[in-house]
Amino acid sequence: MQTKKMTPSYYQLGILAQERADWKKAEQCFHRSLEIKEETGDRVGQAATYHQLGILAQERADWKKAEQCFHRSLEIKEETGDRVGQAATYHQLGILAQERADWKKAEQCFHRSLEIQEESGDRVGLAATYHQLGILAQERADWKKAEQYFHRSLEIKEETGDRVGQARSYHQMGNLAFLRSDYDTAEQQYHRALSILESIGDRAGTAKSYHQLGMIAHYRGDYGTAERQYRRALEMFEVIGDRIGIANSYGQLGSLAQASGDYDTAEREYFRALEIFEELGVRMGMAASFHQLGIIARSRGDYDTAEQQYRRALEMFEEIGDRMGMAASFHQLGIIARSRGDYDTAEQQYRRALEMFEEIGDRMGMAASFHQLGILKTEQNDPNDPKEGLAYNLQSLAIHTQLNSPRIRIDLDWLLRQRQILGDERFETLVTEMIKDRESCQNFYALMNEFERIQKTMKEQSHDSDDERTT
Amino acid sequence: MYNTVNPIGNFIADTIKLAFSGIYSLSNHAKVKAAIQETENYLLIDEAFRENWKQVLPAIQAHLKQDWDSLEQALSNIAATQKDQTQFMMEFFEKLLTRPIFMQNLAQSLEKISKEVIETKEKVDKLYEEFCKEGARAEERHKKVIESIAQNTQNLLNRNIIEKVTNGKHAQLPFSNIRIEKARFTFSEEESKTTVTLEGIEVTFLSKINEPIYDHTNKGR
Repeated sequence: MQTKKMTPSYYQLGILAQERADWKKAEQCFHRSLEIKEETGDRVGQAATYHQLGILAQERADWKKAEQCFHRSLEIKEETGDRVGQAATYHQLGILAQERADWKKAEQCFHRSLEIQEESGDRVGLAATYHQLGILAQERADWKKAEQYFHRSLEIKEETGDRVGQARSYHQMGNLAFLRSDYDTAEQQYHRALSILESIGDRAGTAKSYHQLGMIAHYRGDYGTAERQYRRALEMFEVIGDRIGIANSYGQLGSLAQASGDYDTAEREYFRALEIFEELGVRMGMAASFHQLGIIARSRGDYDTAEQQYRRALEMFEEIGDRMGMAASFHQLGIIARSRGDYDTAEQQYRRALEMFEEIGDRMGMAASFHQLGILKTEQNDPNDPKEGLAYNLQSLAIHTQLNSPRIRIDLDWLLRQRQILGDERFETLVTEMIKDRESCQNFYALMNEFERIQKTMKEQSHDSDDERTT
Repeated sequence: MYNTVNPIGNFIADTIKLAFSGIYSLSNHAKVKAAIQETENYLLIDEAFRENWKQVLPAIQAHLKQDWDSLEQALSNIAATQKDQTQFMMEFFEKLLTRPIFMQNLAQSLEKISKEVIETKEKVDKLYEEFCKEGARAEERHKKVIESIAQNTQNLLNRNIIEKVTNGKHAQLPFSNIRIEKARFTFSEEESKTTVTLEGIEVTFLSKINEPIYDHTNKGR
């Protein structure tokens, strides 16, 4: 009698520890619970515990163990006719397939789960499965579909008063806005998620929100804040033993070092991330690491290594169907071709990238393609008439101003060069032809003048300090 | 990275190589002009660099005119005014190499020809011959570029990409009616210090939150 009472206690303690990301304690509790259930022949309880052990292994990226546990749980549930339980386990098998980038299998599992949940009126389960289908659509860059699924999931969670679930939806909606380069919305959503996650002590979720807030600061060029947020997230990931989280932090810290021109640190961080991703078999992370290592090699002028890394990344992105990743690889291969003077290939690659960015609605990506095509056209055409190049660079600037991106200065720097080549009068004529409305023209010249003024000030300051050194 | 024995020869060779590898144009001289133009853009930034360039430019111009006597004279002038010619050229190249765009082209070609030391006029002649051949090849490539642009433009039109971004007004230019929004921030001095580099696309290490379904079969028992 005493033992029977203790079983659910251990089980519940395990879930509690799991929700607080104290995975060691959770594992101990579930194993103790399982031992007792096996002793007492509690089949339903065993299935539930195997399911939880599967989630635990999944959270620690131990895919093999997770799969074994889920199949063990499913077997018992089929034996006992537990339909709701089966839906939950199919859901988890779907997440497992998703983590391994096996989209087809993931979709099958989620739809199987959805069918049973609808049949049994399992609202909580439905919300969770819609959420996962949203992530699946997001990973395939089908953002419209992702948004629909997230909203559907959020609606049910609001109805059922599921606060944790709402926080998860906000976080994912933040990710969606982030991928669409809408940083203001993304930030709002992450903060909404964070306030709930912190209040309920969900350390795993909190760490992820900090990581994402770091990315927002990073993209806005506020590197100090970005580093603080990444390190905050890393510390939490380390405490809770979330290895994918740790690898992601290394990856972003690498990207941050790279942005500051510290390639050695960046390379070190990417290799640290790659090591973990390889160990866990996370192909998405591996592809991202190869891609970033390619950028480092290119920055060092080692084009052969860069190309190798981009092609490795591209192969993986293609394999897992990550269209954003593929577009990024094409873009980088274009830059390599251009650096080698192979303009035909460069243009082909940029246009392939542009096509994909346009298709998935990635405006930052489109701006980058326009920018590179602008450089290419300016170099390819008559240097005294970089009209086409100017048009592309203005298009890039237009997107960057809409997104309030600090990359505006890259466009302006290039546009200033084009003005030098064209001369003020011709430049103004062309700009007026391309930017027809008066307000846009005023905005454009206000930007150019401000940028030029700052450049001049900096130049003067630099001369002054040179003079001081000479005297 | 580059040959210090005869850096001027290397530099001339590079400028030419840069010209035909980097800038497509039907006129050979236009390519070289473009290379010079690109370099001169950097000169606007750095006064000391400009002074050095003034000394190197006559050598390049003499080479372009195939005026070997003037070339020799120009090279001698550099040697005469510089106490340490190698040091001077090293500094010159180092300055060049700190310029990101130029570096992309120049550093690569410098590395490639580091073995091809050009010591005599005959070697310069041979290089010029190659230059002419390369010019012809460049024309061929140029034709292909035009064909490929035509094809790509057609593809883009088919996909309605141009129509979408230009509101259908792409007849005169690739883009018209570009809308520039008002800047919502001012450029800080700190930002202006940042090197403006070629814009690559990074991929991110995004943290997603999965929604696991806990099995609550045992709850409340």
